[in-house]
Amino acid sequence: MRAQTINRWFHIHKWTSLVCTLFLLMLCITGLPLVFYEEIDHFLHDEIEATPPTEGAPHLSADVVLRAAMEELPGKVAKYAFWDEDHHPGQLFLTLADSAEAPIEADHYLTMNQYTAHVLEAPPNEMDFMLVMYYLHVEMLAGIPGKLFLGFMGVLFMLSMISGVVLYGPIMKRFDFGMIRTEKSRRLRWLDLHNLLGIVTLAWASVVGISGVINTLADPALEAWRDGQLAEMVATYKDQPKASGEFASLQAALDTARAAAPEMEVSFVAFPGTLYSSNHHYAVYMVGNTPLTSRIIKPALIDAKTGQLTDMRDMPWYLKAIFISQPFHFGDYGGIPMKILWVVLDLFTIIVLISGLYLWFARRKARAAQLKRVLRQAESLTLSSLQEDAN
Amino acid sequence: MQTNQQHTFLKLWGMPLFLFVITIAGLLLAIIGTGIWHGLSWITLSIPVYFTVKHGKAFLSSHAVGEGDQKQKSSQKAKGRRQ
Repeated sequence: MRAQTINRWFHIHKWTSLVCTLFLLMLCITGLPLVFYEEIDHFLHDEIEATPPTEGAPHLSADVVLRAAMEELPGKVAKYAFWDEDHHPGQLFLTLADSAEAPIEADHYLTMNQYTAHVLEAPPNEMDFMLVMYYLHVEMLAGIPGKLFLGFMGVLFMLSMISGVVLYGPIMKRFDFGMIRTEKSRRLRWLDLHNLLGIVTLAWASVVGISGVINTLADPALEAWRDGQLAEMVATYKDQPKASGEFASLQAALDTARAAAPEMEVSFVAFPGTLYSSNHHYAVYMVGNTPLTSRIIKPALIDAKTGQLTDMRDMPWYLKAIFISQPFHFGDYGGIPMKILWVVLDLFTIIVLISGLYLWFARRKARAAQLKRVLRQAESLTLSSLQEDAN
Repeated sequence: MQTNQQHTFLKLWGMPLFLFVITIAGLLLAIIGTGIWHGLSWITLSIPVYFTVKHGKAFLSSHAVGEGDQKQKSSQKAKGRRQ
């Protein structure tokens, strides 16, 4: 590679890294506790369990459970309903807010017992430590613009990784893999550490980085879906006012969706007017029931007034991409050991970022010292030449 | 000449390529299924961590090594470079 080409790549690496490093550091640090969100949440709050009143008692109708939740928080409307039979059997998670369009920061969460319709947990609607970490990580507490900004920083991070790999070649050409020169200067030692950790974490950081960038596009992607496929699916409702008043049975909607996709399971329900549904439908999101097919998501649109199935289609590729990329960003699909590996690789990435920053400072200092030397030299030369002239 | 070039390419990029492929494989294994697939994924993803610790510990230990060790080390490295 020609020296000029290397120099050009060096500048790309320097500038893309400089711009994104502090944000990436923030993402890596806030990401550390988020990897163990579930576990930390369990630790901070009391473990709750939904026990059936008698052995083998059936779940109550979703309508009964929902009504009990609405009575707990009068004046609110339901936005989403979630189930997680694997980890939290017998529990129904509900999101309620003042309106279906309310921002997520204003959401209230309720955990309901599906056997008794009792409220298991109603956390106060305020930021705790983990939520602050979450919102910092996702949007720097700055809403959708913050999210998109972080996506752009992710793109710069990708560029900095690509240019880093290009530079790895000429730097490591004459050395063995993993060499760390400890006997030379402190700067070389840090450079070698930067190169080692950078090349080792390359694949992991690329996967987490790309999936993170994809996730930041969730809001515009949902907007595009609402304007595109969803609008097409509910075209006949176009001129009707938003569904209001008493809705059809939620339990019946769940049953209808299950009948329409018998080989799938219900993941969550988006109520009419929310980001994930139309103004007239329960969107019942069905997922496959094997580890591989559980990433395939299909919403069944059930008319919230009549309870009839309106349509059920595969989601467009850009929403599929978002849903499929999520586990690769969270690292939550391989048990606790994988979460530990996630944290270790995250720590390695933090060292890459800090060592990169250190190298930039050290280089600047070295160059400033060099400049000083050159200037002093020039000065003494001028002085001596002046003296010569005087003589 | 040809084999020599191949040799230098592998010497430079062999480990980075190996670790890249191993990491991606480890990430995919756990999504295929649970049980044995998770176990395979953990083992596979531990490989890059192992190599990082193996080589990276030189960075930390450099303060502790005595004068003699350091000389020995640097002469070993110089040998490696000459080859």
